[in-house]
Amino acid sequence: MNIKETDGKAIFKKEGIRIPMGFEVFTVAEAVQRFRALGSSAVIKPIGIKGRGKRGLVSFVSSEDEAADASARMLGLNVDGHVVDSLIIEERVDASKEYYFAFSLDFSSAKAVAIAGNGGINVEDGKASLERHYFDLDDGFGVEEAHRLIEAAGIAEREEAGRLIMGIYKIFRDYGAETVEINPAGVDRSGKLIALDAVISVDSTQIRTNEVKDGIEARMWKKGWSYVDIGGDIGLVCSGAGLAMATLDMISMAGGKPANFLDLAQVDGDGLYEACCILSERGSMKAMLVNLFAGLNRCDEMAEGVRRFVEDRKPGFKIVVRMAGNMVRSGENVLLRCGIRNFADLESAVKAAVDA
Amino acid sequence: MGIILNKDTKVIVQGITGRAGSMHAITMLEYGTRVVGGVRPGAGGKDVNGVPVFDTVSEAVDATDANSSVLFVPPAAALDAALEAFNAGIKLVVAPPENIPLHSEVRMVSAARRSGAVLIGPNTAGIIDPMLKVKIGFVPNAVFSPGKIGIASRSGTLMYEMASRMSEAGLGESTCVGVGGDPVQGLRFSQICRLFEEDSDTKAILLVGEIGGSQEEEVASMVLDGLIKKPVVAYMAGRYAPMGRKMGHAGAIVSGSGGSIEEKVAAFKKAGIPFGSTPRETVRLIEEEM
Repeated sequence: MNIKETDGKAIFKKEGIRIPMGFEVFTVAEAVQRFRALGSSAVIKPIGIKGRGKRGLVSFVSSEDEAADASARMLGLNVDGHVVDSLIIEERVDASKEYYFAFSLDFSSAKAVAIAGNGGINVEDGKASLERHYFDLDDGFGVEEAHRLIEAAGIAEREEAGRLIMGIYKIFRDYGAETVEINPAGVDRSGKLIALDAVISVDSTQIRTNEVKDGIEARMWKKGWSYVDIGGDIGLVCSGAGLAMATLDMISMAGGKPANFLDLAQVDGDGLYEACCILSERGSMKAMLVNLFAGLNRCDEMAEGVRRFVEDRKPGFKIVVRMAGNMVRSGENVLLRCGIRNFADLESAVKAAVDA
Repeated sequence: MGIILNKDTKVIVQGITGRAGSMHAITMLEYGTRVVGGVRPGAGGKDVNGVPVFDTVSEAVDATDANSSVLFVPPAAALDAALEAFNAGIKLVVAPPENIPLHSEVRMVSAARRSGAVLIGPNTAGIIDPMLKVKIGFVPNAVFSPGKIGIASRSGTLMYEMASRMSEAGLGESTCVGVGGDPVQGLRFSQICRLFEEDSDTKAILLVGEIGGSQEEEVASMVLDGLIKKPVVAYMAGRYAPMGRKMGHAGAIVSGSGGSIEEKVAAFKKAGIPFGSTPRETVRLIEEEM
C-alpha cells in the first residue's frame, strides 16, 4: 500500500532529503491560492496516480489561470478506476539531470535490493538501464555499498547521492517498507539532488484502516475480515481467501455479478451470523451465496449462524448455502429447519445464486 | 511415500500452551503425526495433553530428537521462533501465522536457506501426507485420502476443496503442501514440483495458484525446459479480482508489473500445461492425464 506522496515527502524531509516546497490541494481555488504563495511558476500533479509523466499528468504552470486550468482538468479525473480527489502543487525545479533511486524487497530471492540509475519516464516504460545491488536484510546496507552502486550507475554527484541513498535505506529499514522509491531525483540549478516524487509502499498487513472509508468494509475490517466491494448483486460469504476468489470467478463466469469479496477465514457460528447481518445491510442484492469449507470450524455451528440470520433478519433476497467439510451432515439438518437445502456441489450453488 | 514428510518426522509445537497450539498438537497426534514435544518459555517441565513442554527448542531437540517444528505463535514472535528452531538444528519449519511483518518474513526465508532448512509458509495451513498419515499444521485431514496426485496450493481452503474432489474422483493425494498466501514464501511451487518429480507415488501434479507473484510462471518455465516430466495441471483463482486490490491474501495482488491471470495463462499455454477455469473442469483435466 503506497502512502500519500505528501506524507512520503514529509518523511524524506525528516531524513534530510531535499524536497520542493509544496502543498496538497483539493479544489481549484486552493490551487490558485497556493500558486500565489509559490511565486511565478509551479508544477501540478494528481496524488495517488502511477505513471503520471507518461499519462501527461504533470503540468508546469506559470500563471494563476494556468494553475486553475490544470487543476480543473485533473480534479475528478478517472484514471483506471481511481478518481483524482487531490493534487500536489509545488515549486518548479528545472532539473538538468534526473536519477532513479529505490530500495525494495525481492520476494523470489528473499533479499532486499538497492537500485540506482537514470530516472524519469524511461523507468516507467521499463527502458532505463538500472544498477542493482542485492543484499540480505540481516547484513544491512552501508556507505561502501552505496558508493559502489553510485559508481556502477555512473552518477557524478557522488557525495549527494550517497547521503540520499543512505536516507532512503533508513526509511526502508525503519518503516519495514516493501519499497521506497524516488523517481525522479533531479539535479537542480545549485547542482544538488532534490526528490521530485516520493513512493513509500508500506506493509499493508501492519497498517489496515487508513484507507478504509466505506462503512461495510470498515466494519468487516474491525472483525479481522477482508472485504472488497465489487458492485454487483450477488453477495458472497466465504471462508478462506482462495475459495472466496474462486467463488467470485465462478459467479462471473456463469454470467452473474458478484457484489463483493469476503474472506472470513476459520469463522465460527456467531461470526458467520454477524458477517451475514453486516453484508445484508449493503443492500442491492438479489442473492447471498454462503460458501464454506469447514476445516478448523464446524458446519453445524455455522449453519446455526445462517439459521439465526434468516430468522432474525428475514432477508428479502435468496439465500444459497454450500457447506462442506467438518460436521456437514448435522449442518444440513440445522439448515433444513429454516427451509434451506444445502448444495453439496459448488457449481450448482453458483448456478442457483446466478439464477435468483 | 510422498515428499518432505516421512516416518521419522518428529515434530515439536512452538507455542504449545496457546489455544491453537494445544488444539493442533492433539489433532496432529490423532491423525498419526509424531508430536514429541512442545516449547513455551517458562513452562518447561509441564505437559499439554501428555506432550512434554520445554523452555527452549534446543532443550526439546536434545530430549526428543525432534527434526521438525510448527509455529503456533503470534505474528510478532514468529521470526524469533523460526530463528530459534533453525539454530537448534530443526530441518523443517511449518509457519501458519498470518500478518507477520514483511521484513521479518523475508529474513525468515533467507535464514532458512542459509541453514539448509525447509520452511513452509508463512501464512500456510501446512502439509499433509495421507499415505503416511502425517500432517503438520491445521489441515483438516478428513477430506484427504491416500493416492496419486501431488498438490501444491497457495490457498488453504482451495487445497481442501481440490483435495476433496481428487478423493471423490478416486484419485487421492500423495502429499499436499500449502505454500502460504503471502508475497514471500519458504518452499515455492518450483521446489515442490522438483520433489514431486522424484517421488514414485506422485503420478501427476496439481498446482492451485492465484493471481500475483511469479511462482506459476516459474513452474511453467521448468516444464518448458524439460525439468518436470510428470503431468502438471493447474487451477487458478482470481481471474475476476479487481486490479490493485488485495483479495484476502497479501500475495494475491496484481501490481501492474506482473502476476496477472493473463500472464500466467500465457506461460501455462506456452509450456503446454492444461489449466481448468473451474474446479470441476480441473478434475476432468487431471483424469485425462492419468
